[in-house]
Amino acid sequence: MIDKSLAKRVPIVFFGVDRFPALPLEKLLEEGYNVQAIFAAPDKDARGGKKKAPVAKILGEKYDVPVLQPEKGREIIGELIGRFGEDKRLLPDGEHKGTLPLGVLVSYGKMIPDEVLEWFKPMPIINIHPSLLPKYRGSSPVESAILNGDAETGVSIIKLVAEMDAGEVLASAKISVAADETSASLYDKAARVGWELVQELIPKLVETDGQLKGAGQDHKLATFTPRFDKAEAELTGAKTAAELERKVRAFDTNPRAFLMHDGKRFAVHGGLVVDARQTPLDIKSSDGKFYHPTIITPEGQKAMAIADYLRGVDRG
Amino acid sequence: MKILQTPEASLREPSQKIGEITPEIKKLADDMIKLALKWEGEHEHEVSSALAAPQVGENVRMIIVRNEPEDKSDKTFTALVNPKIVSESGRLVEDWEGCLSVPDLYGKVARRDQVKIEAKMLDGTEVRIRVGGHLARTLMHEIDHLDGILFLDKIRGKKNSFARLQEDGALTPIDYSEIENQTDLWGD
Repeated sequence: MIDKSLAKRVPIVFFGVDRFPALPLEKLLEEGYNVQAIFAAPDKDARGGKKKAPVAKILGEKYDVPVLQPEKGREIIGELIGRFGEDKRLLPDGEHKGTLPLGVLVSYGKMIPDEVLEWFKPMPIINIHPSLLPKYRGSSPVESAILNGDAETGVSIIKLVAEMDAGEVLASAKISVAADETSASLYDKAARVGWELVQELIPKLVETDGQLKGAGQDHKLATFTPRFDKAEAELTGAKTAAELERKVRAFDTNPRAFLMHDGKRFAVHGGLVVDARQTPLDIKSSDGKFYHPTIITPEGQKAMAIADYLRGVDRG
Repeated sequence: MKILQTPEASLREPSQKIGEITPEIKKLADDMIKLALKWEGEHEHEVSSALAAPQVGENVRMIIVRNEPEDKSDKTFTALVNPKIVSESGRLVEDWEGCLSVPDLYGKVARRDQVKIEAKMLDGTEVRIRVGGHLARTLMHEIDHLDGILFLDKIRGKKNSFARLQEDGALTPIDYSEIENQTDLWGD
């Protein structure tokens, strides 16, 4: 039998969360896991010369867990040694620790150097990756599943290794991609399912001192997803209007889908494929159909229904 | 996809090894070549001799290197995946280097003039290359990118090592104090 309380005693070092929902970290903290340190992204510059703290830092402070924000991945090892001592097996008073720290990484945004992977051994750093690996390695698995019109994708929990997203799969689960799924809603699903899997895995990893074997990935089947920048979120020149419709759902967070009309930029939040042009902002695609945006944010304004925008335009 | 410039933080981050050379990785190599050539078209006095994947926002270990950098009409490149320096040898030579991610600024960097490299070609073939001269410098410069290091970082604080590209294509040495406190260059 697996001792649940042991799972709550294992020291956890958390890395993240950048582009993924904070739910897994929130759950670890809320449910009383022994999170000893949180590595979060540095504060970002915000408007008015202020700094914006990442959500992982806010959570860490709420639950009184030390938050570390190194600028560079290569500073991580120093922070770990500073916190856990030269020998992570020993407490400051020289006594042996019962369990070794386990790493949990959810979209950290920085590469974990080899020496950090070494430091954790024999425990792994486990990583929630929102795809069924080896499919969709890289930066945009959720966006790519929607862009490609997949009806199903999934979540994999892998052991972090030096090669990108190539580690053993410790657990995985499928999730459906609804017809109106957006990257935000799919990230949320992936976070919930990912947390379920992590919760089941932690006791198994503790029991086996990190030796739990996963399934090796079939690397020949690997695909890679790129990092999309703002320019690629422009709605233009598609083969089919359906492609544009998927693009809006895939890029509903960052980058956000947009169209250019009369030299102005409009963020697009939703829309439909239609057979005939309904507004001047509709986009014609090569299949003869149109993408008709229904909710937009005109540059410098608030989000609104396209009908309201056009009424405003008519009024001059 | 575009060529990132300082102070973009991801340029100072190390890149991950590529586990499998997927069709998308090959496409990334093609896109990098296109971007390098487009950049060259926009920069009359400079040649795109090489580019590393982190310079286009993908922190993975791949570089492209111009086959004939002396001949602008030859637009072919070779992509190398997970390139690794096995050894450096020979004389320490100082020469000017420029970078697509550091506009108009050049620096005199000392490097060994012989290098042995292991890498994979896009078809998966493992290669071991021994090169000297400027190609050795180019490869070392690109592999530095994969470790999050720009040429600037190697000569930071050196007084007579920087120059600026002038409109006529000439390099004019600049005083270090001009760039010493230019925070958008150093990323800190």
